[in-house]
Amino acid sequence: MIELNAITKQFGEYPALHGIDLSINKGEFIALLGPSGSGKTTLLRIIAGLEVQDGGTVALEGEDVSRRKVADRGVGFVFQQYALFKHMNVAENIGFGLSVRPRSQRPNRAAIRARAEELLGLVQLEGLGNRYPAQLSGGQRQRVALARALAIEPRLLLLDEPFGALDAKVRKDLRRWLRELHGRLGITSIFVTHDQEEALELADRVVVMNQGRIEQVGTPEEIYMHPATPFVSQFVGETNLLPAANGAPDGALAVYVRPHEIEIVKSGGEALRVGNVFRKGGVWRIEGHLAADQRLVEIDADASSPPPASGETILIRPKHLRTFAQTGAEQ
Amino acid sequence: MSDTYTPTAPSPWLRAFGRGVFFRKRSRSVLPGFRLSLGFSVAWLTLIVLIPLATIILKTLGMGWDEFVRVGLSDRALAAYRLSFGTALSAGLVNAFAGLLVAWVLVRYDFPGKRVIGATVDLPFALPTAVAGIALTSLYGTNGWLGAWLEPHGIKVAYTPLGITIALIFIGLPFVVRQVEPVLADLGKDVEEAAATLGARRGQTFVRVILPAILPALLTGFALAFARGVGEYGSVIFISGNMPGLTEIAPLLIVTQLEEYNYAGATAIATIMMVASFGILLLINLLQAVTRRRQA
Repeated sequence: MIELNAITKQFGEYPALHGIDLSINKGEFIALLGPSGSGKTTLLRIIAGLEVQDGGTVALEGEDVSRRKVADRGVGFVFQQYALFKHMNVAENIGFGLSVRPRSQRPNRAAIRARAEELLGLVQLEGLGNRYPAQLSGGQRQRVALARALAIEPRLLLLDEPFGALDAKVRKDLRRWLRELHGRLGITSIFVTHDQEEALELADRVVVMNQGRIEQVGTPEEIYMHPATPFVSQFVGETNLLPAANGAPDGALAVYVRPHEIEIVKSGGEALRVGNVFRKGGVWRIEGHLAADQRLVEIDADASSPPPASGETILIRPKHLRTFAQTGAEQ
Repeated sequence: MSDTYTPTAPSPWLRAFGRGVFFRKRSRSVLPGFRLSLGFSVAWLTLIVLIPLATIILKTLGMGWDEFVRVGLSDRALAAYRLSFGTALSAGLVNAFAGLLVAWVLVRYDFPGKRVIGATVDLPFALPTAVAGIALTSLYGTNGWLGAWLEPHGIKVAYTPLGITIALIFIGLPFVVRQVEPVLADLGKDVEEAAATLGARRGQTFVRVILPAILPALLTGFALAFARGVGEYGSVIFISGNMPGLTEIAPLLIVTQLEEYNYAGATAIATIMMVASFGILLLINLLQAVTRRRQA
């Protein structure tokens, strides 16, 4: 469906993307995940045509659209700050894409209005067609922006940090709703986020980016359980870096262990001096420093038994360890 | 962003006339000093604006209706009104277009010397208008750089209404640029990008997305440039040639009356100009209220 081939982009002196290759299947829901400055938004804008790549090609449905204008790509784009037209009411906003079509392909007024009402139903904003954007809440505006993008029946839907400007509760509801909507419409979608939880919850596949490169592409399960690089391991989920311990293969620089993958043992572990202990959801989160090198370690311990007290020294051992050789591949 | 809808104030005029701002029951406000600051504002406006304007009308009332019509609506005066309002209107319109273009360039593009150009825009504000008038006259006069080149083509600028319009364009430009600039900057690129992803061509984006958003500011700029043009004196009297009935502007006619110690005549003309200007500005404000109503 989408083939990106060796996309490069430079902003002045600053290289934003170094040769991105990516292929996305029809109907997939893809997350571009990475810290700010990783190039994820730039990549999204290049796919839309809002930015022009320096090198490489973008192909949609087997057709090279690299030099096509934004307006001719048939790509729906949802902006982080919604970018609604303030002087138009909700129905006019949604119908805009249809109303700017060449006269021969343009539906009449009534048909555009009917289509807008239909989309309002889809985004659960029935009856709000005559409101103006200023009269809506953030979550409602975001859904109008989505309906507006869907009105042109795009072959691809792109969302730039779609939940970035919303508060936590609204974000969670909207996330679930978007997942359902994608399941219903089956439209190929790519969204950009820096929130790993959001990426893991929503996406069929996650593309983890860092410093203009793709670190790993995989299902949320693969990304979380089998991170391909130290960066992915640390960026997705919480990770402790322990010194290369016994049993680690030669050449390993460090051992990466998730907080829940560490167990407290009676003997044969590393000594840890307990610092803060607090409840984190269903587990005790124990923060402490290794006796050996004062390294900070976070542990999630079963909340059914009382936690160790602050200042106490306990012994810990990783249940499952993950190492990366200098090549960056998991061993 | 809040969930509540707060319509922007339509216009000071509409508020004052439509809802009676002075007599409305006051709701409790967290901002202190409402009475004091309103009292001060009204007193100040009275002292600085209303009393002088009232004096003009009082002076006029002393002259009797027949005399008022004879002086205020004489052929010479009517020609002067036509000229003043006509040139101010066309200069305002030209400035609306040119000012929008300048504001657009200043907001949307980065180029070397941008700050210098930005400062240049304000020069007509600061320059003594007589200097502008003399510069324009020497430029467009029969022997001036532009005048010598234009006149063989049958375009006469100096000592014609065209020359007056050019002078008014010069002094009115900053009003439009400074009004439109912040609104354009605030509009944001993403709205234009959104229009593009929805399939709109550049022209459609401009007409349907950008123009409606900046129209209130553009109207304000136009109104200010127009009002300034109606009252402008210094830069015009040099380039106009001041031929009664042909290139004599209304403010000059007032000065002429004053020089002849005909104070009543001067105030009669001033009163008519004031009423006309007030009416036109009120109309523009209403238009603005309509265009702004939907936006927040």
